Amino acid sequence: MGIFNGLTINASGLALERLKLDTISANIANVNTNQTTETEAYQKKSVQFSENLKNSQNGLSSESAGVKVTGIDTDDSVKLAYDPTNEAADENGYVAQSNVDMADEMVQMIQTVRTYEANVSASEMNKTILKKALEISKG
Amino acid sequence: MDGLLTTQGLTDYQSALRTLGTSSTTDQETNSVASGNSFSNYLTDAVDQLNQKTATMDQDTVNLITGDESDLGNVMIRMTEAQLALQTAVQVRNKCLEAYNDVKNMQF
Repeated sequence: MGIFNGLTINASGLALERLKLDTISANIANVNTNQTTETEAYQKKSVQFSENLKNSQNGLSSESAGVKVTGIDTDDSVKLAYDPTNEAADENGYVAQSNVDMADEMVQMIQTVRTYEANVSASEMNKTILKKALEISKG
Repeated sequence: MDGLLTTQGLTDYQSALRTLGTSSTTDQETNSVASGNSFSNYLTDAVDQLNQKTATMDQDTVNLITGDESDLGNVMIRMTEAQLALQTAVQVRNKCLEAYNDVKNMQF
């Protein structure tokens, strides 16, 4: 990867945070998606990720290549609400509700945006370092 | 006595260096002749890589406009890479010209 290593590492972080924000958007959009006669209630999604380790030539040490997405998890906890007049209700009168917690999603969203900003700052600093290196023995 | 010993050591060191030096330089010479790695080759390679980065950036811009690429962050990072590569090339060119001018303006 050479001299742009830092930039590409932060690029992976930026991509991850964007995917997280997309997932949060989907969760918030489906905050009221309850069970109907045809469809199931919405289940909260979350992004799973791990460090992206890249083995070097000798195979002994591994250096970090940023972060990688390992999958999108679905929270399968069930939230029931008593609504016997609903046509989708079961024999006891319960309807499955979307298990998204709005407050949780808001907190996640702020965290995601802050992490994205941190990644942008870090890549700016990487750029500054490279630019400063170009100024060595100028003139 | 002490001084004599030191000079003897130095001579040994020098002869050792010479044998080392000759073997390594001949190796290097044969290497560079075999693979033809002259300065112009390195320069051509570097310009090629720079060209590739600029082409990638160009394609990214088109992809972003047409909607094929949706990751703005990645595109910006690649643009930054291209920009820095170009600036490095300009600096290398400046240094080369400086060296050339230094030789050209040499007084005899």
